[in-house]
Amino acid sequence: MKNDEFELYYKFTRKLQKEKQIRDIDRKMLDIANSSRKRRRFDEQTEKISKQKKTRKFYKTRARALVFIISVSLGLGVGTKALYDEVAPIITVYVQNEADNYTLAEWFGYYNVSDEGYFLDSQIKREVNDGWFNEGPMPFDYTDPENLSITEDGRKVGAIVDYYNGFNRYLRSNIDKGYYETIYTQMERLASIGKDPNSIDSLYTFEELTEMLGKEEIKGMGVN
Amino acid sequence: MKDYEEVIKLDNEDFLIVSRLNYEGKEYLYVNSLVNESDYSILEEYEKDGRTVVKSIDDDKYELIMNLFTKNLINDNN
Repeated sequence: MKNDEFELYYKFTRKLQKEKQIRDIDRKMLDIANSSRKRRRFDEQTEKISKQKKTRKFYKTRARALVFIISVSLGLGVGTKALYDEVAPIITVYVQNEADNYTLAEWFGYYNVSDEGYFLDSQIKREVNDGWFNEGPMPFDYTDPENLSITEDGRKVGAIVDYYNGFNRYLRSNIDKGYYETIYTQMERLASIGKDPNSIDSLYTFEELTEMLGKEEIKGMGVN
Repeated sequence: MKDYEEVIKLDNEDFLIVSRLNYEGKEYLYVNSLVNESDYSILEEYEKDGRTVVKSIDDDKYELIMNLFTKNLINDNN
């Protein structure tokens, strides 16, 4: 499968999925919002603000909070439709770094929806040595359900999870050997065993995969 | 990039100020606990008797303010 062929398939399936995707994201975001957060209420008290040096914990807390804000807001119901006219949210994932250690990476991607369809406006922020590096826009829309991959035995692995593995290959390769081809191969495998390659339910984090499969380490595409 | 984060102490517990916004002349803070990361609150900041004080927002404002935080966040990231 060549890149231009893949692009055609990609655009076609993407259009078909637009409505379903919005409904699914609505449900998924509401689940996330309701599952883990507790709103604390405070009576009036004097403001005591201090400045503390940024640490890994601050970054982590901030990132989770920001994802939560989006999740809750999109799940609130009233006003949700208006927000969908502008954006849809994405997710925190664990990725594998060069040293084969898992590290927290925060990825914020937004769909800008217009009459012409979706436009990805995203960026990668990666936590390395207590600092975040903006790695720039992604070369591909990894939040799109069409970009699923699947392991040899048919288990589903989210495309987001595969980001670093796939992207590294893409950077190192020449035409016809890149990530597009890899993704498409995975999609075909998914379809060949009767699975829906366009299901957003097939997006998992490493944590979810680990729990689901009962394994200690989940490393992404084709690896368990 | 700032080297420091703002932390507010509420009931003797540290909360990170994740985001601020001004709406209709009022200042709102979204804060997240640094002790239990699943705890959060939205605060309104105002002056009283020469002091700056904060309190949680009322339930009827929650949805509106939360949506505003979201839009601010999206704009910041764009």
